[in-house]
Amino acid sequence: MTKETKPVAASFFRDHITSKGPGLPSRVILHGVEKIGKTSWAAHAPGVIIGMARGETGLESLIDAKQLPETPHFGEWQVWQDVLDSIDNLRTEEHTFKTLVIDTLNGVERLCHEHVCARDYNNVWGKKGFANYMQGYEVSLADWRKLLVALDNLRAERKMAIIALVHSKIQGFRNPEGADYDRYLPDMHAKAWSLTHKWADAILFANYYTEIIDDGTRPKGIGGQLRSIYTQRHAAYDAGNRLGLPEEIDMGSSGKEAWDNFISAVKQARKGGE
Amino acid sequence: MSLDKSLRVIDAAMRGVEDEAQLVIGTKCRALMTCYDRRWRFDKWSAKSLEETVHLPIVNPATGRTSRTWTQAGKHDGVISGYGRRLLLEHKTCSEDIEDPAATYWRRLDIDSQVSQYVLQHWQAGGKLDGTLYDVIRKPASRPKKITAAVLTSIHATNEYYGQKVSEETKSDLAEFGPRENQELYFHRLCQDMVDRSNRYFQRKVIHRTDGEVVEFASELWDLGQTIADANRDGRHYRNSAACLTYGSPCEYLGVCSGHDTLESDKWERASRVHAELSDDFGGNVLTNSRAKCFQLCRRKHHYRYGLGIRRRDEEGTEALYFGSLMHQSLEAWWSAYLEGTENDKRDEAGGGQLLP
Repeated sequence: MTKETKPVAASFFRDHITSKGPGLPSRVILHGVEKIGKTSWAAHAPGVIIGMARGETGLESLIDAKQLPETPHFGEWQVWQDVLDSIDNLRTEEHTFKTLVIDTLNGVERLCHEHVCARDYNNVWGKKGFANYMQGYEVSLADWRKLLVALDNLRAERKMAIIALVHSKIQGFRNPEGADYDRYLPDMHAKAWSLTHKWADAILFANYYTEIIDDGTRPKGIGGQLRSIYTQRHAAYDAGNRLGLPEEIDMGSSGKEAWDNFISAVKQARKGGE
Repeated sequence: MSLDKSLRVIDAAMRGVEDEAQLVIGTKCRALMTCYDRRWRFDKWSAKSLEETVHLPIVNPATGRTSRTWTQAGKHDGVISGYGRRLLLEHKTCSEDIEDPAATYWRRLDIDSQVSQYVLQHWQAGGKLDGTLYDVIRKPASRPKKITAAVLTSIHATNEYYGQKVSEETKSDLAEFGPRENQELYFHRLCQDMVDRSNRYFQRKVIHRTDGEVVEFASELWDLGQTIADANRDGRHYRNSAACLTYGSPCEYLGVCSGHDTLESDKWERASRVHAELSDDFGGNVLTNSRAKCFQLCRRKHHYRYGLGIRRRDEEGTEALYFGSLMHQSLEAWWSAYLEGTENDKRDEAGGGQLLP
């Protein structure tokens, strides 16, 4: 049986013709140091619903402490299937949410690894199982891609923005042009991060602003109260975006202020691009 | 019923066959389909379509422009639904390790162009799927073997071999031809091995592509069409000597490329259809996955095969091709029992087979 189709199938290319742009909400990743305010920032996104990976219940603590208003969230994701089910429910059921926040992506990655370890390695994590030549991380990529596809579908079918929060880690960078140095990177396995990096529209890094005073004896760091979101790649951290954002966005003194500043920067970038 | 259907296909292919090698292939296929059915019959998949050939335009995703030179086509094994998902179905037979989840067989699927192209084709046709079910069967490497005296005694005493009844015909074979497995005994041994080591022979995995990856592939397909058109325009089809012995045997055009033969010799003929795998002839400017891979492997080979449409007259099917083709037909017959909208669309509700992860 042969199936012929018309010359241009609108369902596919409607969303991918660059002269108009896809018109879909963004896929944003924010990584940052502990207690920088990632969750408070994301909780102010419009029509937000938050999914918390097991152990990442900072949102509930913030709500209890009246630092955040009551915010819709799923029950703590205990296993990998919980994550996929939540995303599928958002895709298929009636609701008015506009933004899904994943808190945190590295926590979800851990659930993915647990799922793969149980399925393919009989729950053996060591050298005779998941960690054998780091194979488990490689095998998990197929499942990780499944998550990204599910998020793509949610974004395309329900026009929902995706915000994923990630903890940062400091990792050495082997510099071929000079001395090696340390960088802030999302705390995920390098291969899963590489896949996710390619998928995202914006990778943001949040940190405290610190000034280094070097009086010739011993360098000292001062400050540490001012918080910023950095949007472009730097030797010291991984970031980057396709949204035309300024290099640095002030996070102010609250999650709301941080979000408002971010949205202003997005709107400004859109105006500037027109 | 699904098993009966697939076994009928094998029986029909084996009717009148006397060649030992072909009979062994037939027995392997029978054993594989018997154990495939045992492994998967309780899965709750139903087939939406089977063996459908699609023919679509090639569109540049950066501009939305449709190619005036090229179209694309492919024959999809099927589209299936179940567990709230709609998947593309791809059957594969192989000789590689599929049991190890980190095996290279699975790792290379991350960028496999056939998966990408078929997903693109469905998306382009308006039916975005949830993934591709890779339904893989590993070919057994064993062959019929001699039987020890002790086993022979046991067969005569119990009338059984690997727990299965042995026919009178086989017993007379053993008396006439000596202690060696005939097709029946070999079948029993294969089945026992496939039941004992089911994961070695049968695997199913769902392969996913993100939207970005599909769009990236669409760009590559567009670029490939442009590159082939440029090569045709300039009449330049350079050779890739690294590809002359790919897949463990010499390229069929090696003699021509190395000057030991010419296309004018009586060994060659013009094929009536260059895309024999498709059910329709869509003309010369169709990019199938096979064609794209051929061009990427060796431009000269692509020119001979798809540009000039030249094939060897005496091309003989290899054992692997024969096995693959027979298994493919058997699998199609097996799945046809689960085709929606037919009288066959019923399945045994008893038992609890393996569910996909």
